[in-house]
Amino acid sequence: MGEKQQPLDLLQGTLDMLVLTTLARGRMHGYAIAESIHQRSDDVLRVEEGALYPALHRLELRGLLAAEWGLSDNNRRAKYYRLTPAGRRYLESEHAAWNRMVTAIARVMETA
Amino acid sequence: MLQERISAFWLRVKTLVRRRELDRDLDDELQFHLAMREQKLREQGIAAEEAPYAARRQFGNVTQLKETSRELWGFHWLETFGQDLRYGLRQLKRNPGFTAVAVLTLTLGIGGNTAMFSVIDAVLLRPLPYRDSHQLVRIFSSSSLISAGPVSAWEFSEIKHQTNVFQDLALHSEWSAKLTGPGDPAWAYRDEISPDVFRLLNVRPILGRTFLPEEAQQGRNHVALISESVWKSRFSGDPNVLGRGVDLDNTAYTIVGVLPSSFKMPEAFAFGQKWPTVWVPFRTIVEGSSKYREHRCQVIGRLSGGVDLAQAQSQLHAVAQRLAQAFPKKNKDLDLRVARLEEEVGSGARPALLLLFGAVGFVLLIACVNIANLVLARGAGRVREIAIRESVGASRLRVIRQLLIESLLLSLLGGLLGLVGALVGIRGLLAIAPQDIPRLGEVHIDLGVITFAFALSTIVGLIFGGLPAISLSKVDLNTALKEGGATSQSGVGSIRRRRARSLLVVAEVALATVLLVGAGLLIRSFWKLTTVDPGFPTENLLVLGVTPTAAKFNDDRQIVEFFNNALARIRMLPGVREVCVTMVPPIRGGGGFFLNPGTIEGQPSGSSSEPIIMDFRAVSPGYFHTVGQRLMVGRDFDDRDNAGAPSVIIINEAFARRYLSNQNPLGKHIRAEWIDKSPPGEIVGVVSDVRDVYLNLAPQPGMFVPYMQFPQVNYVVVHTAGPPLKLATAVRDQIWSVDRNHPILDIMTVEENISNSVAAPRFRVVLLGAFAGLALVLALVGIYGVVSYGVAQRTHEFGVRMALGASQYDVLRQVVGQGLVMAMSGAVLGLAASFALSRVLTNMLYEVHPTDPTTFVSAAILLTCVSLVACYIPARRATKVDPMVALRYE
Repeated sequence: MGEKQQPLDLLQGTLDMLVLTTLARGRMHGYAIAESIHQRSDDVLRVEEGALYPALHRLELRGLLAAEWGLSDNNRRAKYYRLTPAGRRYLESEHAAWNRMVTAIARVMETA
Repeated sequence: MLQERISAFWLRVKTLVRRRELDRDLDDELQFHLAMREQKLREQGIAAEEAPYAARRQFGNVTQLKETSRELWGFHWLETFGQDLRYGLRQLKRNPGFTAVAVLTLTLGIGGNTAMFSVIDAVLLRPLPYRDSHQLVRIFSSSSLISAGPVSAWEFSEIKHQTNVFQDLALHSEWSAKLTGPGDPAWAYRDEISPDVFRLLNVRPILGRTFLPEEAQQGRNHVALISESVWKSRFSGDPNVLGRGVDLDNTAYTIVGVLPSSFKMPEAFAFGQKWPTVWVPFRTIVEGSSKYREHRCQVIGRLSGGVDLAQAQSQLHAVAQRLAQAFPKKNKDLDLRVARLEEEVGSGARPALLLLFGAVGFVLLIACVNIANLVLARGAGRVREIAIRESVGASRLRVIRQLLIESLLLSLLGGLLGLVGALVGIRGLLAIAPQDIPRLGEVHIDLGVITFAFALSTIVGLIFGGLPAISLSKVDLNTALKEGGATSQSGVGSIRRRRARSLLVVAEVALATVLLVGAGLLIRSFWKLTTVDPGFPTENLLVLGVTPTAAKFNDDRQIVEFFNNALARIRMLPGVREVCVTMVPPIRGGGGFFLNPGTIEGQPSGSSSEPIIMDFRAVSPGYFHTVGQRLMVGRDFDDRDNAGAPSVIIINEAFARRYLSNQNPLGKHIRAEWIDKSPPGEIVGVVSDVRDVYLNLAPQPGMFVPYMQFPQVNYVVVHTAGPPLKLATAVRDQIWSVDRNHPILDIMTVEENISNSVAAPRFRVVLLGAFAGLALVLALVGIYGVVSYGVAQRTHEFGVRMALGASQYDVLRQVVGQGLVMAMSGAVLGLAASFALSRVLTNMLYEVHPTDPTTFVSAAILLTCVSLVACYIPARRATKVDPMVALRYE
């Protein structure tokens, strides 16, 4: 793929999860997804906004998202993403795995 | 998972097609985001001019993101490959001189190799056009007298019953026959074949049928199959040819089928086929008949699946031993051997062809070295470009790949042109190739040859491009990017490169030396061969082949009469000095027969009674005079020595020396025993030795008998006053005026015979000489290139030296000296290698030893002179350097 690896694969997986979860609530364009993540995480999660787009394109390539062009609120041309059925199924399975991992980490952190 | 992969793949394919549109979409998407963010920031209070920058900062590296996404979408490697390709083409166009030289060199090298390979492919590699031809074998007898001879029907039957390794066996027996019937009398092969042959070789007639088993019996066997060429030429392709007749040796046969012209018997591949073939059924030889134990059959077999040759051979050995025990007198030292047809066909030509292939491979290697040097030299000027590319992020692998693509472009282009050139080259090769190389007619460019050319081009490109690429891509970014680092004149890299180039030159000079020595040896050998004195004058001798077959004449007397008539008439032609007949004309391989030395009167009793093969001819009176053999003692044959008179013999000096030294040969008798007749004879004369069998064969003991007592003569030899071929038609007409019914073949001159007999050595000399010459030129160019480049690099240094007082001569000596060291090292290496390798040529050298000192020394001297010239020219340029100019510039 690209010449440079993302420094943390974990980060990439996390970002994918966030994107998929956000889109579970409906179709959005890239900016809206970024805003949504910012708001819901209370600005804790600071990822370069631009890093979102490779993630979106990768997910689209894998068939977990579908995209189409439309007009935004202020009549500008924007690309809207939505979850595909495959994406929905993937989200469900990963969500369960994700929860398990988070719980385990929390438990480890508590006992330390 | 698979579903994902498929959909991803399709998206990528679509991307390829709609590149521009996707780029625009990507751009739009990111711009949209930036615009929204900008607006949001302005709403939050950031100043209007500041907002765009703030948005971008928050966003990150737009360009990089675009690249990442683009790489995600497309076939990344394909696109970069396309880029490299276009870049490489531009580079080549920008340096037309370099490109032209490199492509030309490659065309010659790859083209030569391709042409040689196509010959090797046809002669050695391609399977014979039979089903599973690797399974086909030939079985033959072997004894101390004849190493590869025919098999008898008895042995065949025993083989069939006592072995289990052959799934099929068939007999055939081929002999020359006179073909009459429609058309002029001509010669043909009459091949008696058993019906198994058709199944064995998987041949089907294009018309009619093959033989039935009952046609092997006496009385039913006058049916024949003709070849397609005979059908077309003598029967005009008559569709009703079945049932028409054809005559072989004045026996009538009915045609029952036509075999396709693509079909040939296996021997035809090995030994070529001069005449067409007519097939007749093999008459079953029953046990008890006189022919049962005669060795007269060829045996073809097919090995069973999974059986290897050694197994078959050991079973045949066992059969032979059992037969030897059962019949010790006849079969005592007879062995049965088996050999694969495919190997047999090419075995004669294999050593020479492989030698030439190796030689042309050397030439290609030398060409690669030259081009590698060129690439290195040019590459030194590209160090800065490579440094820039690596500093903006290109990996070393990417740089190497791009350089390799440039080299591959060159080599593939050279390969393509070489393939075209090989078409011409093949025609030239075939024109000078000796006719006894089998399957020459099948040499053509097919898929295998094209694949070879392609593979060779790729390998060559990787070789001469790879090493320089690896060396060049290892760039020290620091020094390269500084001022004055554009062409790396100093630094570790350049010294390594210089050494690499010198080593390459040493290597190519060594290779060229090996070729020179090889060619030199062959040239000396050929010279000796063609300047050997045959012992008789070879000009103005015309030879015509006329074979009256016994079937036409009722007895020998008629043959003698026929020839006497013909000779008389020919003698009266203007321009004819002398004419005679003989069994075998000069330089045609001689006629051999077995003589038991014990039958020579005057031999010490107890001398071995093993028969030996010696030269034997039946000749007419005047033969010796015609051919120029001198009568030493005694008398020539004359008209008194006819059928009723006492048998007489003339021997040559070699015979006399060998068996009758210290005795007077005249008057001695020989009780000769040979196959059909055995007249003893009295020696009446001794003639001088001549080399009339093969030029490179010293004269063997030989004997002559008068043809009137032994009328097996086939050739008329005419000593003409002027150019021999001019009289050919007249002589032929005279012969036909006696009796029209004789095919006349092989009209040629003795000089042509001689030329043909050295066709094979000549072929080798011409080709190896050409390769060696080419190699020498390439090596010269290589030396010149490296020395010249070195001079250009060190202009500054020479300027300094001359300013400090060095004379022009000093500079000259330095440059030439260094160049000579390179060349001489290569020469010494090459001579050592030649010493080890030249034994390969032993069988091809006539009276020249593989380590012949003259050749080695001459090659060394030639190389030294050539290298001197190659060094001197650029050295002169070094001396012309103006110190002031050189000192001013780096």
